Amino acid sequence: MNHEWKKIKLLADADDSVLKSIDERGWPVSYAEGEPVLWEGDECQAVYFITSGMVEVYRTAIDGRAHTLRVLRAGDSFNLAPALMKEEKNLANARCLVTTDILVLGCEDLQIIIARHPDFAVRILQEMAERLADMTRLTSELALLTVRERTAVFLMREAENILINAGRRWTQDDMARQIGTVRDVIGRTLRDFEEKGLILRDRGNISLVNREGMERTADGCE
Amino acid sequence: MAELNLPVIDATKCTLCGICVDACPEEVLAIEADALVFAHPEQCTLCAECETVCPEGAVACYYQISWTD
Repeated sequence: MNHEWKKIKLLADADDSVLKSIDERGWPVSYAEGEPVLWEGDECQAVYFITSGMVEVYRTAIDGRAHTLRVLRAGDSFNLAPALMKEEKNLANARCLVTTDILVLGCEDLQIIIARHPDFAVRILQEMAERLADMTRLTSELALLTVRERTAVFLMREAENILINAGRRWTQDDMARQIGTVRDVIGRTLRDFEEKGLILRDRGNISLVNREGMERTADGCE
Repeated sequence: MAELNLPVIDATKCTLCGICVDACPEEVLAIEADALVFAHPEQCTLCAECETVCPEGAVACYYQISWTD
């Protein structure tokens, strides 16, 4: 059996019969940095489990603007929602941010395994509930927070995640995709944060230097 | 260029419009012999103004984000 399956959070507590069923049906694929995994609107064919690397799940507007929905790492899975729906299309695009190894399981196989293993079905429900919570948070931030507030939230979140994100470096375009805005607005917002003493930009580093000020900015109080 | 902590230019996207050259406060960039070049790389502060103004998304400045307080 491919022991990489045990790296997947969704399968961490799965019993051997589930892992065996998945192993019999799934297959590994390696992707290069920048390589697309799937496209929004294409027929959904599989669910994907990341064993190493990093994947961005995103949607694009007709004018080319992109919005990052999730950045996923080893142990995460994606394309689960359309894989559980009948005759569904992929809901978003996915591309590899670095060299990435993925285990793939076809939609029909996923549904067969869920039908045969109630414990696994419950685990899938929990995963979907967590994703619903994430999407609710994202929707709420987009609807209720200004770009300035979202930028502060993003910077604080990424600064807290520096160990998880080891080596991850962000361009203004990357930040804009995450925050749901455009590059020049990010440029102006960062410049404003710098002028107000909230951050320092120093040759490849954005340092958050005023925790209270950042928190007040994220709360819309500054 | 990335090792020197300079902006990364995607020559396949750059149209040599020169907007970044005009926007750079340190006069780091120049267009020479039909190419965008770092005329004074040692003066670059990685302020990302070039990335902000590029209409083609051809310039990228990479930042790590961290707390220092």
